[in-house]
Amino acid sequence: MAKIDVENLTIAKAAAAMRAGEFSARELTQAYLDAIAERNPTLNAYLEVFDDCLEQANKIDAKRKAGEELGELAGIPMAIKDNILIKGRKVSSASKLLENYVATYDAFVIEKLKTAGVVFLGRTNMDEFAMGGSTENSAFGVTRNPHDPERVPGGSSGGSAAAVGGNLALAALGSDTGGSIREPASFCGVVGFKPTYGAVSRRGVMAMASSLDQVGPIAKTIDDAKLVFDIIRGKDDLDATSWSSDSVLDKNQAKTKLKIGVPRDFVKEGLHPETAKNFAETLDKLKHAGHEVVDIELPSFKYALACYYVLMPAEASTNLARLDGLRYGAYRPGTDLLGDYQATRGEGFGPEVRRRIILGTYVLSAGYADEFYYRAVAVQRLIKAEYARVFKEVDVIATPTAPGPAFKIGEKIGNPLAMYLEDIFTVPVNIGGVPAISVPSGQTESGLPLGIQFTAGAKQEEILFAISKAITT
Amino acid sequence: MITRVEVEKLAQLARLAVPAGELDKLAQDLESILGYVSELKEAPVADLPADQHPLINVLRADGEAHEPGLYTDELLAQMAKTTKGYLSVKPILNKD
Repeated sequence: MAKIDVENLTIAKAAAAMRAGEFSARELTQAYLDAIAERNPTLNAYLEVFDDCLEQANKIDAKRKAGEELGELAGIPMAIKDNILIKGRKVSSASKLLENYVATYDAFVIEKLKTAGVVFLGRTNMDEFAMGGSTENSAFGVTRNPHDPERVPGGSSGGSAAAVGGNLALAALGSDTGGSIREPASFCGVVGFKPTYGAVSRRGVMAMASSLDQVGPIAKTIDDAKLVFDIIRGKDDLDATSWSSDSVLDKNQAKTKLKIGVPRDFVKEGLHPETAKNFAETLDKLKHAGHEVVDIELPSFKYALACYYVLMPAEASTNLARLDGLRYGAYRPGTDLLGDYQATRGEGFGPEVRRRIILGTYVLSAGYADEFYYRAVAVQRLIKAEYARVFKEVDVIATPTAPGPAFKIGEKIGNPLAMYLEDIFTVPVNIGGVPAISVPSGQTESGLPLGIQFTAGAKQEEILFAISKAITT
Repeated sequence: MITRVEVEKLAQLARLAVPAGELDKLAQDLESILGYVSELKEAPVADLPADQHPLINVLRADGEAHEPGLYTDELLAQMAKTTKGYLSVKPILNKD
């Protein structure tokens, strides 16, 4: 067997090669384990590489040999973000508090991937409890960008994006509350897709902000991202906010000329010059492909980031209240029961998590809830209404995914607000509950990847896959 | 202006021990973040929704419970301290 070329491999190609007998699932898995052994010590994309990867692959090979029916992702090696539960395996959300926590059940998305025959390579690094945009908030060390190890991979799903971008996995799962799939995908030169809220069940995914969280794929191509999404989507009786994809009648699927709206005022300021140039060139490319580009106005979007940094910490502080070290997690004794809670949470959570819990406590407290939390809920309604209005005029909204390319490790960690501004283009999507995708759109002169983000109306993910292909083919 | 004392109070409400050395930096961070999110005050919203979060009452109705004890051992195994199948915690009432 010739050496497997993981650099140019996609899910589609790997699946075809395994069907044709060019290589086995075991050989493919070994190729990724070799790549991980070589590059993970530098990149720190994986917190743990599972010790049974080859056994998982052997089972697929045995089934194939026996002529048994195989799932669509049979033998495909994938990486899983460390906040998604796989029964019997450690899952820590990159937190000291859950360092040795073992999942007691499978997340819905993991059940789906198991049925599809995925080989799980390991769990990937992230900002602690998905709070951050650089993976620098991991309790287990920063992940490095595969295109420049001096730079961050983005976050919070930075380990997943670095694993796919660095060819240490064929695809990965991430979670996205304010851009945590799309921003790292753009920094690492891969495709990152955040589905419509409820398209994918959140059961078994550690909650940050439950009304905004959504799981999605990080992959090398649009087709691969769609393939994984089609496997993990669907109604789950144990997540009441999930819905069945059967109910989606896609009228726009056949449309070949799409109308793309660009919110000029919103993307005017704060852009890195190379990002601005690349964005303009990508829009030209779309025009040449026959699509129409028009200017749109989204006046409430300037409040989206402020709205997000009230809603998200409010929900996160509530969700993380359950972590007291008594029923699970790393227990630290105090002088009394309250002291136990304070010691466990104070020592177990890192600085950014503590900052957000305290911020959330503040915006929900009796004196300030009207001024902050309820006002943010009202602004969320404005933003939702604006999406509804604009998607009557255009099929898709285009913005850069992030204001610039990957920044240097340590560049923004001391200034939380500067870090939060990285999310400016991605958070409106979560607030609106709509789907969006980040697609590689080129690179800077020094070779750092850049991404463009497309947003569509709720349940219109097919439009996103269609428009994305216009710039990748 | 967020003070050290306020941060201490919030940390207490959040059941979170914050090292004394971090209080000033935390107060400063909160000040700058709250300054930024105060932009919300300028947003053109007419009324504040008291109970109109878009996701109100979305949890499923309770169904049939599973048979008792099915997961007990697995869950107990993760607990810090147990006594005869129960979670042990420090007393919250003193006899004297």
